[in-house]
Amino acid sequence: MLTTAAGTASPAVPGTGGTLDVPAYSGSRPVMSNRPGRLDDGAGRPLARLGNAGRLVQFGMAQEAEKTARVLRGIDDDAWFGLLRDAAGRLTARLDGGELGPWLRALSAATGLPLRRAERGVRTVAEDLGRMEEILAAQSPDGTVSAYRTGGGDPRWSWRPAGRSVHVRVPDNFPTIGIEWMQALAARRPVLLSTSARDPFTAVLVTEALYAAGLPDNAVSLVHGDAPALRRLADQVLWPGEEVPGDLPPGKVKTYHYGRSRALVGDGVPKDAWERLAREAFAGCGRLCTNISSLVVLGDAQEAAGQLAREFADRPVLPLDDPSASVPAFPDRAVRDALATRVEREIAAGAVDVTAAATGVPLRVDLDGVAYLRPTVLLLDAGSPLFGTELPFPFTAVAHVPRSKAVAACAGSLIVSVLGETGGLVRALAEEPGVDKVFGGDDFDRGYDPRDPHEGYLADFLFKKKAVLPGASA
Amino acid sequence: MPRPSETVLRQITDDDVRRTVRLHLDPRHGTPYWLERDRRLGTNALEKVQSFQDAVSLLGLTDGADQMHYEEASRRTPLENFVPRSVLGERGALWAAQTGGTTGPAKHGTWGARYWADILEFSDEFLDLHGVPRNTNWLFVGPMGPHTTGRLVVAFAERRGGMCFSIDLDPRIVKIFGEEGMTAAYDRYVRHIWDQVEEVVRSQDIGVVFCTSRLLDMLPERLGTEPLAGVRAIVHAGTTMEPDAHRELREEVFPGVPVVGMYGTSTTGINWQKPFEAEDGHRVVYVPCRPHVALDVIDEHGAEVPYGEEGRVRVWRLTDDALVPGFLERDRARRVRPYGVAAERYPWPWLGDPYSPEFTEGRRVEGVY
Repeated sequence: MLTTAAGTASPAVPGTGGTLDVPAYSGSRPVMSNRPGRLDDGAGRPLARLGNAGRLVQFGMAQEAEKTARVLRGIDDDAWFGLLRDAAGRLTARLDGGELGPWLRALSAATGLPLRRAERGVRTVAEDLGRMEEILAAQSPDGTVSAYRTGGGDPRWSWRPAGRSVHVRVPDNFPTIGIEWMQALAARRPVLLSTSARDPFTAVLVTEALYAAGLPDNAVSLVHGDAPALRRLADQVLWPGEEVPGDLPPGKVKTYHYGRSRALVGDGVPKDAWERLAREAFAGCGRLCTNISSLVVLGDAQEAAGQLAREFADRPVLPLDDPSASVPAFPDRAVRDALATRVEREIAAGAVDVTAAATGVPLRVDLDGVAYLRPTVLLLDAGSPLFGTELPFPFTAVAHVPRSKAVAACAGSLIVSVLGETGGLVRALAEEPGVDKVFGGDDFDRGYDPRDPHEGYLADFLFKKKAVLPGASA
Repeated sequence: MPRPSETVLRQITDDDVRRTVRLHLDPRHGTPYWLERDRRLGTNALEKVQSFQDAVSLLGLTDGADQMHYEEASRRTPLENFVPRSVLGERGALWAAQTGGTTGPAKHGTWGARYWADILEFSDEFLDLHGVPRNTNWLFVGPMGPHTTGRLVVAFAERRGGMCFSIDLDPRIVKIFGEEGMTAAYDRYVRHIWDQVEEVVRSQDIGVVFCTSRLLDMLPERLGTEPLAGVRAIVHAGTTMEPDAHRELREEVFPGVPVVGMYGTSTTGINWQKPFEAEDGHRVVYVPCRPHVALDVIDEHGAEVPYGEEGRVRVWRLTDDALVPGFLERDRARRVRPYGVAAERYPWPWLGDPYSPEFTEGRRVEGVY
């Protein structure tokens, strides 16, 4: 008898139908291994057995991926994007049919995402996959998707792949993050995926849908957890967050979906601004890089914090299976407690927990044995270490900043949303090197749209202009 | 070189057990450690042990204090305590083996000249069974020095008509790198190993590569497959090999080339993988090399698990120079009923998919095994 999650004494999480087998994929071939990895819900209850693909299998994946790059570029555009739409439709049909209930419950229990939000996240992944043609056209140098295949039509340069394969580490904060690797695949780049600890599910569901729709073998391979051989062998690497493994040379890697987003609040903000800001703070259950994590307030910061806290108070902590739930749990209670301590330290140093007064709910919430943090608006000094820090739950730090220091306070932002009258700061923000996106006017809460540059365009990393003569026929 | 004992691989008989007990528990000429233990526990094994079953119930090490006493003695007392006085008196060669030191200071054991000769004899039998070629050079990438494997592999190569090139590695410093978080040092050390391997394969004619399983995992990504195009056999030892890795090696990296596993420990002995057959499903199954070494797979009460089930590995060594009476390894494995072409030749329980939990679960030790 093998030592697997099935052999443990702890009962399975209700509604997951027992322990799921979540294979790795060497191309279209599922890989489970003798001693699969084990994923539990943080309380020791088994959720899934994870296929284990060792270095030799990873070597095979990388070899085959390289060979597949040309195959993908040989497929005409209609067939290629039709295949992606077909895969998207298959995944949506499985969601609609209720077939993925156990997977979604396991995803919810593993990540702490409310069930309905987890489902919506996977549904968005399918929608994104179905509109890759539009997303890639926006990134192409000539506005067409054929450039990914042909190199474009410019007489001076040819737009060519900067690598034959790309390794993508997929984080587990929210399912929609899968759009990064799906864009790479849609750009006809074979992808070598490694999933993160708490969400091995979403990438597997998409991979299965792609192969069911006829994706050429080895266009996607998938490993659960660390994949040192893929890091080493892939021509390029997409790595989430800001901490890149030491064995990755700088030119080979592009980091993605990191960063903090802020809002700059001037005079005369629209009436619905606070509701819309709260929606941005709660998008993806507060686990996205686009969440508004700080408000830079030119005027009365206390008033702004109060307005936002009232909106936060309308979104209480609810059980994960409540359809209205939007606040994530922390399967690892120690992580919750460590975050709470960071917030409590700031309060001890003089910060004001505005949501505590608005809701009467303590910061640490325990519901049915599950650990949460109450959504929090913290009024503090702009010099606080939590000002500008992104925390993995709905959390916004609010500080008054004089107009003269507002641009500097927004440096290091992925998105700066500008509300109300700020006296020409939009232009200054757009010219600030440490700001990636600036949204003002009625677009202040645009958030993430895959057609927008987001840390630049992914295509600019995956492709480069080369002088190739005699040209497109080469 | 002494002749082998002329004992071909076969079942362990009661005569084997009685002969071993007479040798090691003879009050005047026996083995100091086992005599002292016999007195301490009041076993009187010399009188009472007449069969393997008796040995299991009366002589076998028990988990806990008894096994710990033996392990610590093998770490801290002179190795002569574990060799019969009569064997020491013969003045034959004794190889002083050391374990890798994964669980603490290294343990010591002996491989007497006759046991060594027996091992070479049955290793040839298995290497031939797998189609490992003779008259070709070997490359050994693994621990030399005090570790038995290196010396054994040199002997395999020379006995089979080749020279053995070797790249040394020190698993103990690698363990320190892992424990002390010296990732850069670990990475540099691993690169140093592969740089040396590359030099040898570039300049020498290598027919057989012997590698630890973990390094074998990295081999194609580090060297590619072209420099090893002339390799005609792969032999590996060390930690577990997953079926998918085995399949990848046999079908993709080294198609048509035998890939052979060896399982054992520095102080007890070695066992060879059964001949590869499709019905293995690429699982690696080993044939315990009886009568020298017996491997049980037992449950938490010390009883053999049914065929097909997993349990803890227990090792018996019944040789002139060393008695190891049911040492409980950290490794776990599946007990396998003999099957296929080799079942009739080796009709005793086999061992499937052995693995070391500390390498595969939780607190993984970053290593080169």
